[in-house]
Amino acid sequence: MNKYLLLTFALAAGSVAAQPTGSVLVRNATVITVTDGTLEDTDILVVNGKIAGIGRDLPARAGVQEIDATGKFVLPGIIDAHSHLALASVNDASSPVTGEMDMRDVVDAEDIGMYRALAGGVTAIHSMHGSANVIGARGATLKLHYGQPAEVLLMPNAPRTIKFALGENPTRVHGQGSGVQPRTRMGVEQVIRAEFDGARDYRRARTAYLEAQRAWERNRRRGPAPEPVAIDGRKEVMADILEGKILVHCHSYRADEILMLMRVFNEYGVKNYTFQHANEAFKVAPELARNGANASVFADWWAYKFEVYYSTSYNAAILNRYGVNTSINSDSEDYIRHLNHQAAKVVRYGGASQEDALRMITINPAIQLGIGDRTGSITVGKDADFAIWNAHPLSIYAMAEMTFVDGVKRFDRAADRADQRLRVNPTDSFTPGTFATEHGRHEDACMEGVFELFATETHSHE
Amino acid sequence: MTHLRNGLAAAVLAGSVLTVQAQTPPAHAFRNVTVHQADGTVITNASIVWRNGIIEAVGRGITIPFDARVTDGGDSLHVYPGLIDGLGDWGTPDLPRTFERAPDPGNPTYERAGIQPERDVRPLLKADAPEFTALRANGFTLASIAPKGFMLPGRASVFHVKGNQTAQSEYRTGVGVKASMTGARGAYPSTPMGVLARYRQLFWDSEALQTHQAGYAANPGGYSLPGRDPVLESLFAVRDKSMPFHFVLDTRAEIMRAIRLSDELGFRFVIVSGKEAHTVADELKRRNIPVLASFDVPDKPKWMTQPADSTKTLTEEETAWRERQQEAWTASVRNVRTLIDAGVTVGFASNGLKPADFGKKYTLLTAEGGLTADDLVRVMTANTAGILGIGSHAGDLRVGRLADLMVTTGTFAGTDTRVAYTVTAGETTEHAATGGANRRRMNR
Repeated sequence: MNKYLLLTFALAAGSVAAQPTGSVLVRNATVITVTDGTLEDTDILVVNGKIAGIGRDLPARAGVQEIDATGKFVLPGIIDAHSHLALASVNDASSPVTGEMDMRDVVDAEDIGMYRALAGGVTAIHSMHGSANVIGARGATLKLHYGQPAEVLLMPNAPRTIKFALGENPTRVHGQGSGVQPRTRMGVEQVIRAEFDGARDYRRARTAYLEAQRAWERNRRRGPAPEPVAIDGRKEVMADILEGKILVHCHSYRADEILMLMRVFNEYGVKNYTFQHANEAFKVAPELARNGANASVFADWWAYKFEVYYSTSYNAAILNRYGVNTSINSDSEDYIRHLNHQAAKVVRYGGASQEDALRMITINPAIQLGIGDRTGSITVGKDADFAIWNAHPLSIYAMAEMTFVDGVKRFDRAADRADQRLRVNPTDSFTPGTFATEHGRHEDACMEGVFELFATETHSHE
Repeated sequence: MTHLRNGLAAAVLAGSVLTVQAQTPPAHAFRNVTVHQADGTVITNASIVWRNGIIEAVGRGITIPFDARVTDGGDSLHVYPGLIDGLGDWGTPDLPRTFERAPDPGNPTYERAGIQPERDVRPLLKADAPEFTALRANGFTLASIAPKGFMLPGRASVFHVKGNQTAQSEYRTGVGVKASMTGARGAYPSTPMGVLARYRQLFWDSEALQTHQAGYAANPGGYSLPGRDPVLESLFAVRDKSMPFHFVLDTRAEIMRAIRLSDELGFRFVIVSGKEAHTVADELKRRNIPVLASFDVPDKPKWMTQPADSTKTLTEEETAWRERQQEAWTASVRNVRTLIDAGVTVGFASNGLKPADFGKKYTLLTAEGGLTADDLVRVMTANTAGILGIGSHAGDLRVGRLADLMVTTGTFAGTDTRVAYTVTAGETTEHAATGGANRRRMNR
């Protein structure tokens, strides 16, 4: 019932939902700030969702709960820059370009995957369109306020993002599947160029129309009104990308296509983008660094299709050494539960420092999502997104004991019930709420829903 | 022969014209009946008189005109307003079971994309569809019908339910535009997020076209020739809020998406089906969004009806889960009750529920759903009429309303009650009472 009361309040307040916030005082923890070293025997004061103080023996606050974290570690909330959790649908594979679509429209607030991610110390995710389309939908940056409605999960004022995809997936779905461009990697480049060119023309025409319309209004509507140029949702998005208002996250594997996209982006003036997966990014690490490109990669996941054979577990460490802002992502409802261990592999195989490995799952992905000034480290003034761990998070024995999002405790191992699902359907048969039986691992979450498009059944529910 | 036939035809024609000129159509009446008005008012020993499809008098002690054809209820018949289906797809073509991938799936025709808001349902109706007869046998006198389909399948129009005459008996054309969040199969848009994006683009295109057409009409010199587009033009009335979407929505998430979309684009809508509307009842009340509710409430889960199995020990988890499922089931079956209590206007939409299942859903709703028979009648008559915009003309037993009656052998939804007569716009159909076999046929 609370959830709906809150919803009513959120709607009454307008389109921006009120973000829930909490206050708490964590005592005597080993605080891994990520951006400012590791602090022993340190307290963290959280007031109304923000980190208000970090230090020793902070004074108690009336009405603020204290948590004794002696012998425990505090890590900023893990951020997954590549997820498909909490979405009603992942791929609309009916067109190679679907930038007009928005995952924020279809957030599924009941996905148990969010709770399981919280149990792994994750506090924010980037839920993206899949990789069926050259230009997919815009993404949703979510805070894991599990149990709250969709409009509360959306991080307020998070920069807009969009999914691009190169290589096998879009050429397979559209070129081979539907006989439309792109059939090849060359075609993928042309789809992007054509969209950018069309968007420039459109913005010019639409801006001219709006100016003429304003002039006509100023002129007391004398004479004929200007002939309208309709809003084009797709071209608006493409034009905003060109103007730097939307961050591109591009599914990619091969070095040649990574170089191709950087050339195209340089030509059109697009900056501030992130290559997702990017298994061959290590081959072009200097070029990525020179262009200020980010990389969001797996620790060691490959060989699930031909273009992903040339891979190495040293990828992230090499990129990091060349100064490329690199994150480790999950693209999986399983890996997201232990991204700390994924990060640990970068220490084991690439020789990255523990600090850098932890940056790769906290502040680095935050920067890739444009929220690095608000979360991703234990810093006064930032959102109180963190987890309390029973051991150093890179230890194989480490478990998150409590996870806080905007200062609200969203996971507490001591209060963990066998079944944390939010919904019970009136007509379902019982299935246990444990991880293994409910889902299992998707081999390629990026392609979820693609083949549904061509399913034979007429009737569909989400 | 030919001359003779023509001559006969002329004579018949002349005779019928003379009849119309010379006589008022005869009145009809039920007397000695119990009248139930939509608000629950019960008048015993009452009579009801209608002529020419309109109720002329109703109540106790009224004078029955000399020319009335009278049926005596013998104090055992109950007369209710005829039931109204707020949205059904009776007699409309089924969708193909499978769809080939469109040749260029990203650029399908409107038809292939399921975007046909301009589509009129009347030419699509199959005149001899058995549902029209079955509906009438269940006491339905009016039905709003729209085609089956995907995102925007067509307009909903209201028909008198007259058996195989239904398709020719349209009462109101275009009371709403049927809408859904369901994407096309194998063509753009194919997902909920695609459908939402497509709604936005349709509204933007419709707005530009309307501006362009208006500008051209006023100043032909200054413009390129605006195109014509029946789809975009049919949305003019939705954009200016004179025509609502009849939006088929069930989950809370879907309902919230539609609310946000209506805030963004500015349209009026009625929720059709709304199985989880109870979860946002206060919000619907605040925004004055009515619901044409589905009665397709779920039966009790098996474990609730079967005796406990003493050999099976439930885990703590399953025990807790069962408690939650019981709550979920109760909330689901009480959907309409919760909406009414919150002050939401609730009507009825069959939306795929078959006439053969109406009876057992009434039973479930009255036994477990917190609704009385009077609640059901009000929802299925006056409330539905009001939501369809015909509330001052239909949906109640009052002077001047359509002579649409459901005449039953007992109180509505009672165990042994059956529908004895249906009067549709003044035309009486008697339903024979010959036991179970016949009831099954009527409910077909």
